[in-house]
Amino acid sequence: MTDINEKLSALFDGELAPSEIDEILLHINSDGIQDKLKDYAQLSALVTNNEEEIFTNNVIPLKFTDFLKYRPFLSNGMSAAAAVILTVFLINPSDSDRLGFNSEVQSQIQAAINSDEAKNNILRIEEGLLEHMLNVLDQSNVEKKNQYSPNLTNVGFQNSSNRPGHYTNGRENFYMHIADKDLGLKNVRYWKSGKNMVYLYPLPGGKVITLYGNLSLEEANKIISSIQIR
Amino acid sequence: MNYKNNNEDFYLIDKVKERNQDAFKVLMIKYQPRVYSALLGYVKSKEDAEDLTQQVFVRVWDKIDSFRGDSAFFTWVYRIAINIAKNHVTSATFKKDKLNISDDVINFDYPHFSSPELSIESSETSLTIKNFISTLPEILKTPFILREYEGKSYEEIANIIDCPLGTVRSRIFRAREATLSFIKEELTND
Repeated sequence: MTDINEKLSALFDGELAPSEIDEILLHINSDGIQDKLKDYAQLSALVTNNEEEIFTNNVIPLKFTDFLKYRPFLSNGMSAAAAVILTVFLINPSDSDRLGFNSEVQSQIQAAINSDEAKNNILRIEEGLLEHMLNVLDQSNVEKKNQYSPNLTNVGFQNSSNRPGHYTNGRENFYMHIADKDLGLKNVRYWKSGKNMVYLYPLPGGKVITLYGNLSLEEANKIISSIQIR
Repeated sequence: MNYKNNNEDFYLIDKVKERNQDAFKVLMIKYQPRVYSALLGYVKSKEDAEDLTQQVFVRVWDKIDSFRGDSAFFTWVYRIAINIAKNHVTSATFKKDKLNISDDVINFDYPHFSSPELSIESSETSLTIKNFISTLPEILKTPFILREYEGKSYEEIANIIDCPLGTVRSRIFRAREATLSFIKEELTND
C-alpha cells in the first residue's frame, strides 16, 4: 500500500512515468485510491492557501499616500478622490492589516458592489483584467523581440539574461509588459499569484503596465516611477 | 505535441483526449480543490461553488480537444472557471438548473474530500498545518516545501538537495503522509 500511495503522491505531482500512470489507472476505482489522491489534492490546496489563486472579489480600499510620490504621471488623469483612495483587490486578508485600510469605507464599498448593477460593472472590468493578467503570465515565458524593455539600472535592476522585459536585482525578479488596449483600469491593482505578485498600473491614454514577479509594492512603485512612458 | 514540455499532466491529458474517464478522474481530483477555491472566492456560496465546479469539469471534458498546450493546463481550466463564474453571477436566469449534461453523460462522483477536517475555507486549519510542516525533519520538510510552495520539479529538487530522484519522491511522500496523519490525529480530535 505504501508503494502505491507513494506513486499516487508522485502522480499528483505530475512526476510519474507513463507506464506507472497506466498501472495506477488500472486501480483508480479500487477502495481508497481516489480518497488518497483527494487527500493529497486537498492538502496541497491547504498548504498553498491564499497563495495560489489570482482573483478574488474582495474589494479593499487603501489610503496609500506613499504611492502618490511615485506616480506623477497619474495625477493629471485621475480625480482627487481616486488619488487619495486607491482600490485594490487583494487575495490575502492579512495584507490588509499590513497596509492599513479603513474598515468603514471598506464595508461601504462592499455594500455598493453587492448591488447587481455595481457587481456587473465590476465583473465587466474584471473579465478584461483577468484575461489580460492570464495572457501576461503566459507571455512571461515567451521571448518576444519587440518587448518593451527600458533601462532600469537607476533603480537597481538589470535586464536578466538578455531576455527582453525580464529583470532581476539578484534577489527580486520580474517581467514587465505594456498593453496598449484600454482595460478600464482606473486605479493601481495588484494580486498574488503563487509566490509572485501581479501589479497593474494605469497609464495615460488607457495603457496598462503590468509587473509580474516577486516584487514588493514599494519596489514596484519605484520601478514605475523611473519609467518615462509616452 | 508542444504541451508535453509545458505540462506535467501531458500523459493524462492525452488519455483524456482519447476519452479515458479514469485519467479524467485523476485530473479532476487533482484540480478540484483549486477550482472550487477560486469559484468560492467569486460566488461566495459553497453550494453554488460546488455546482459551478462540476460545470467546469464537464466543460473541461467536453472541450479537452481544444486544449493545445499553449498555457499550463490549470491556466486553461482556470479560464473556463472564470467564464462560468461570470456567467453565473451575471445571469438573471440562473436558477440552479444544475448541469445541462448531454447524452454522453459522464457518471463521475465529483470529488468530495475523504477527511472533513480538510476544509479548504478554514484559514485556521491551513495555518495549523503550515506550522506542523515547519516542525518536520529537515530531510522531509525541504523537498516538500520546494515542491508545494516553489513548484519545483523532482529533478530540480534532487539537484538542490543533492540526492537521487527516488529519494526526493519518497521524502515528499513521507512528508505528505506525516502531515495527513497529523491532521487526522490532531485536528479531528479538536
